[in-house]
Amino acid sequence: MEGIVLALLILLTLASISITLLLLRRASATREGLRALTEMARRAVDTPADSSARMAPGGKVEELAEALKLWEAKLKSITGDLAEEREKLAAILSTIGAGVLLVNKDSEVTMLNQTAERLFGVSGESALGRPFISLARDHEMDSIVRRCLETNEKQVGAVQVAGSRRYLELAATPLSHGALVLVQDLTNVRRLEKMRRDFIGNISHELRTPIASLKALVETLQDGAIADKDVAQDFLHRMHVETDKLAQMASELSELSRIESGDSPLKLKPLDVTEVARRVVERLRPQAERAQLELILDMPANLPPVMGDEDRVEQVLVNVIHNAIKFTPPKGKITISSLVEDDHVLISVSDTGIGIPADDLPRIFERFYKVDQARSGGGTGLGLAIAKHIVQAHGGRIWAESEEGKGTTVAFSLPTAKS
Amino acid sequence: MEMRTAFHKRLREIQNDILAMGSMVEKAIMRSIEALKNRDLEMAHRIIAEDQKINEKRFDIEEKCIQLIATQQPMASDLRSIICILNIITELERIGDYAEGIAKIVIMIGDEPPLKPLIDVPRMAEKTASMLHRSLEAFVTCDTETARKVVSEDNEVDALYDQVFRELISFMVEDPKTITRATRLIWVAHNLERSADRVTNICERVVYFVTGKMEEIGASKY
Ligand SMILES: Nc1ncnc2c1ncn2[C@@H]1O[C@H](COP(=O)(O)OP(=O)(O)O)[C@@H](O)[C@H]1O
Ligand SMILES: [Mg+2]
Repeated sequence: MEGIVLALLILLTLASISITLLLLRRASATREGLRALTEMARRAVDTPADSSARMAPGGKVEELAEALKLWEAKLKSITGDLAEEREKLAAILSTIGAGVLLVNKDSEVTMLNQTAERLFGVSGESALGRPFISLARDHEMDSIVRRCLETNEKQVGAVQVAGSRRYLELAATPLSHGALVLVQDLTNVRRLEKMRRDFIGNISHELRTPIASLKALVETLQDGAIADKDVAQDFLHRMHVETDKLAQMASELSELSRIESGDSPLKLKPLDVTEVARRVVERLRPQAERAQLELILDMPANLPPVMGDEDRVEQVLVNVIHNAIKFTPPKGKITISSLVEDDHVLISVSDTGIGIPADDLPRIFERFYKVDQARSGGGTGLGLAIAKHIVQAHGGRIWAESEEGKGTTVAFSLPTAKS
Repeated sequence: MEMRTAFHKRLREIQNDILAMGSMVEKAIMRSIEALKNRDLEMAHRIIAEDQKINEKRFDIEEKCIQLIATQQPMASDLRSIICILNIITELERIGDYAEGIAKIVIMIGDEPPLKPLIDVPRMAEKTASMLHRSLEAFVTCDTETARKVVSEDNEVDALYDQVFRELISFMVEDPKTITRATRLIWVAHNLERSADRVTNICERVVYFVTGKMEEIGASKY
């Protein structure tokens, strides 16, 4: 746009000068006039002090033509530079991750880049000329821009957008004819921040409980309980339980970070899942019995082998069945069954436990997510996150269905080994 | 000609004010339900304070409209758009009051144990806010199709209200101790249902403003 305007301007100026020139000749005006014109043309090209451009008194038409030529060349190079600048600017604007808009004094959008179009769900053509609020549809964002236009000072603010629930950060910088508005989507950053806060909160919570109880046990022993052999035995046993909990948490955390970083590849081989499940069930049976739960393994012996990493598949089963034990009240039942489906084997663990509220259901596979901090039975909230990572690394899927008060089924699939 | 463009410039400014007011109301609705879900009393108090600003915005827009009529002596069609605006801001203000009402209920509930996890009530709020958002889009773009579409969606809010209502009644029948808590949630749902109705009024106004014909597009069940 500016390039064209400039080119037109040059043409017009040149044309008007030549006309003036013609008139001057026809009227055989004084050389004085010609000289002044030449001087003017030169001034436009050079700084007035440029001595080489200084003219002998009583200029000639040739000299004027020379000066005009120079002028033209200079203007051409300016427009060329401008076009190049524009190109650079356009490239920057289209690749930049932030939304960029220009608004005029009336807060109407005069330019926006692709990111801004995407953030506000508009296309460039339809957005131009519209008031900023009609794109943003958010009074808090609008007032940031307005304040910038009114005060002529930079304004910054973060806003949760009305409809989309995204967090956007706005920086409005005043320009001579309006303002430059930079919009950054902070939704993901916020989510990560929250995850990190939750992470630290959870870790410290999880650490505090076993450590506090270890401390209490040790202090009681020191205060004399150690003399009573029975009590001492009991306390030592409890201390063992607490240290086990801490050890489990440490191993879960390192397991998760190992899987996530991807530096320990799966050791895949054809596996008999029924056999793996049987081992897990036997290992967890004492716990289930203590909790007065019936643990039923309902898987046939002749399942097609799956392609899996034995230790990891075992870990998935432990995590899922362990949850079923923790979240099922006494007299309940836990059933592990299987189904062959195309090229996958589905394994499901159903319990008759407390269930999971529909609101929480989609989130239980998130790291550290626990429906009820108080009722999680000392877990870290990592078990299902680990299970999900493992299953997905195998090319399978894991999901949960649940009804509050009735029970939960957690199921996952593993690809069968091709024979 | 000079007068006419000045008039339309002002009218456009007022439209922008309406979008701003709409955003205030939309946020008030969503935040009231957020506050309800999280038992966030501080947020509830903030919503109540913000409602004052919504009311002020309404009077501010009304004042601008009056100025416009007084100084520009608009023709019939322009007058119609001003009257449409006056109606829309009244509806918006009422919806703001409903959101404030929900915030007051949140304060009443305080930290009582929740009766049930909230699922349909947030859905109602989401739907209502989205209808409100699009009704104002329809207004500024003179889009009667969108306006009619939004009206037709009121059924969904009504259906959700039905569902919430029936479910809460069943709680009360089962255990009379839940009556107080259930009643409060019914109020919340009721406020949302009324809000969606107000949105359909806005849409009807938009259709009237564009076509010049008053029509009741979809009679609400409630
Ligand atoms: N079988 C189940 N029944 C009820 N709730 C469950 C069940 N399995 C998982 N959950 C819920 O999902 C949350 C996350 O599970 P998990 O990742 O294994 O963490 P943790 O067991 O350490 O709490 C649990 O805290 C619990 O609230
Ligand atoms: Mg677990």
